[in-house]
Amino acid sequence: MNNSQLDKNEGETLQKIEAIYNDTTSKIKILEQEQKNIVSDYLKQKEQEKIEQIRKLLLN
Amino acid sequence: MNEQIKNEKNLEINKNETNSETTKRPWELGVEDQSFFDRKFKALEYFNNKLNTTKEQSTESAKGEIVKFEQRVNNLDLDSCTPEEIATLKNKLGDLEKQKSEIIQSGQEEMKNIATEKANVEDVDYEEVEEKDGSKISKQPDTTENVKPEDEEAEDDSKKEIGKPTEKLKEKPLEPGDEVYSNGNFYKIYNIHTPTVEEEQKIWENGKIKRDKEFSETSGLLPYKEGSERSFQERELFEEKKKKELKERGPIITAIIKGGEEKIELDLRNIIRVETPEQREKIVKMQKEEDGAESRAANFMGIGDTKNMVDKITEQPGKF
Repeated sequence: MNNSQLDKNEGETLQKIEAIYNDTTSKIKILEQEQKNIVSDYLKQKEQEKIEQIRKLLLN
Repeated sequence: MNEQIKNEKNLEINKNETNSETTKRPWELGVEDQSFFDRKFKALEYFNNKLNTTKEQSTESAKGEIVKFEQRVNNLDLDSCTPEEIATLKNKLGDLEKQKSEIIQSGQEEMKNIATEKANVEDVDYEEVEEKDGSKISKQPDTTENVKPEDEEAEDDSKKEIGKPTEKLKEKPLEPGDEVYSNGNFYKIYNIHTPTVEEEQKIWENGKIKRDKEFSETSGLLPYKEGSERSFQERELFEEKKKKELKERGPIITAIIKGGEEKIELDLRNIIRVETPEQREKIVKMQKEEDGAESRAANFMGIGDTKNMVDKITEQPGKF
């Protein structure tokens, strides 16, 4: 194995490590977004119910 | 944490291949004259730190979401929110939080595996070059293609061991008598025992007081079932995490510190197998080389108590 091949191996290894890092952070971002969506979807639903409740009160 | 690493966190990763020769990546700074082993070590540390930061930030962000959620429920007087619904929602968030931890852990382990697996093979190349005259003369390494056929190898066992790629040695299961490095010390494996279900249960029960203490210290909450609903839920998550850790811990490895007699238990995940004197020298050298070496090694191995580790290791060389 010559020096250029060693350099290539080094580059590949570092790229793989970086790729795993990028992949991991992407997955984390997706889960973070999912957490935010769970909260916001629930709140939206509840707020909508509250609005409906107020509307009914006003109509009566 | 090394001050330089902190500063480097702000540097943007340059992904342009053509510029990679002129623009240094954060982990390459200050390691120009060091071996690939050192550069990988630094890259691994850099990304490990970044993942740890990501994890912390993400957990904080999730906690912030819960706080905002509770505030909005209170502010809007959403009386239709039942405690059951809120508990279900929090459980969902908790499940995702667990998934995040697992993903981070898995990513860190994967990075470590790539760095350590490749390190052995490439270090052989590097060492062979070094042995010639100190300059970087390349030499054909002992790869699988170069290894003699089995019948020839059988003639000389010692030659076979030398000719075998280090990567193959790494695959050999850990055995009593093997030398390992963990938490700042070199050890000789004394015994390896896979616990039975009953033994695992006993270990779990015996660890309750320690877990209570750790939970209180890390969360600031009262232990299990003695505090609020939040304390209860967080403790449930904590218990699951600890159970998972116990399962992943693997066999009980009893080891004797080199030069001593005391037997201690080692965690398989925190062990680095030391196969050659050169590897041991490298570990010792790396600990002593830089001010921030302790955190590099700790992150590399995923262990803590780094100051202690360095203090101990600097006492070691004379013994071997």
